[in-house]
Amino acid sequence: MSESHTRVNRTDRLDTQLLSAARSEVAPDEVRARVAARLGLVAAASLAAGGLGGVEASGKAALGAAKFGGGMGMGGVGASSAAAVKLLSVVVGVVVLGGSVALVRGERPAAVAMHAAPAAPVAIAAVAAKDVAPSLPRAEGVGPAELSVGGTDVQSGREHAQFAPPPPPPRGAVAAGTAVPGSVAEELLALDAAHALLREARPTDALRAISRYLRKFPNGSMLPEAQLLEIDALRASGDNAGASRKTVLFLQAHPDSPGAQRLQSERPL
Amino acid sequence: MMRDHFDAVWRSAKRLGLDAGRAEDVAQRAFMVAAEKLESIEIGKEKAYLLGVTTRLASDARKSVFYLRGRSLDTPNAPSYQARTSSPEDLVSRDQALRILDEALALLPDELRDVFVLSQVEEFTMQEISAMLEIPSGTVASRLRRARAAFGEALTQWVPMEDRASWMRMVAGEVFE
Repeated sequence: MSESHTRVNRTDRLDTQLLSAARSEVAPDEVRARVAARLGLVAAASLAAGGLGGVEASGKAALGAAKFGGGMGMGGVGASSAAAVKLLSVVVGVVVLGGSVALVRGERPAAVAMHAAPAAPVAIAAVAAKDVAPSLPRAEGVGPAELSVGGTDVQSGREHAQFAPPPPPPRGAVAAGTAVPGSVAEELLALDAAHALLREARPTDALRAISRYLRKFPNGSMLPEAQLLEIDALRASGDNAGASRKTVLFLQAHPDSPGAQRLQSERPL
Repeated sequence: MMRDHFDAVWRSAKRLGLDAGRAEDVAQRAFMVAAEKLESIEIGKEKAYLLGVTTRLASDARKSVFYLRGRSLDTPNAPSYQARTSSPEDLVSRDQALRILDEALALLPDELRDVFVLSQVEEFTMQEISAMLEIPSGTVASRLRRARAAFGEALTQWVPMEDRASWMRMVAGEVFE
């Protein structure tokens, strides 16, 4: 074998090593825990949504939500933490509980329906649906409205009508702005509008929307999210000094939040 | 599903050009989308579905004004590793390997990187990628071919100087695999 060929083979290991490292990369436990907590809390929040959204969750569904945490090796993730309490209040009747549980349990929806689905026809939370909707795989023809209340939930509920809670609100009810005045859903709608404006590259309008939110909900459940959005809008509008000031305040107020991590990563060196 | 596929979703989001925070966000969203569409996901195809969603979400994230703004802070045209390795055997650190990989991937056009990551990292077949990204299999093959060449070129700067000639010959298309 020639020296040249040997070198090629030796060098070839460069891309092999890189790709091998990538294939074996696993998510840090804290990342996994954070995402699981959020998703698990989404499920748990659906239980709380009974009070907020007129949907009553069952004990079996609660068990399913609890299994979410257990499945991820994070027992007790849910309602015990401050974040949990917050999310419980934030997710107002949205998110497919059955689906969320299935994510954890590795079961198909039908199986979920058998064990945990009395609460399956839970309305979908504005947080989840609205947040994901703009990025949905378009080719599937899934639009934001279709996410607002999952047809699959309705179907699951039909299969277990004897346990079924009252029918879910009509498709797109939350998105259509039917939130109860002063409710968390109203907060979500207000912030979502600001976020949409920002995505449309209308930072000035977004800032106005955020200002309205901050005036209306000075102690709102979504205050950190609003502050983060405000920083983004300030930057997008070219007000870097204003954004920097707000960033410092945000980092002081929420030093360990995911938002703080993001801001830190975006700070100029 | 999350237990089995979270790592793949999360690391793919990173390979597709997102920083850690955005990768985490995209991973979460991907599972939320999957939860919505669970009944329509074919059994055994959960990972393919999730990574198809992840690829689209990552694409959206890359197009966002904030992503573009952040990218301007550290342009991929100025890699931080300029052939510092004296030999490939030095690449023992996984973290370093991942950083080099991401810097090299950042040099690829998005449509090539998507196909390359799904094929070379997550090891999907071209047919699977065709279904995931909803593009013709011929397009997948073409992109993968170009992606491999571009990836090889991108790695050149990390190849020791004495090996570069043979490396370039290989990248030119005869041997690279």
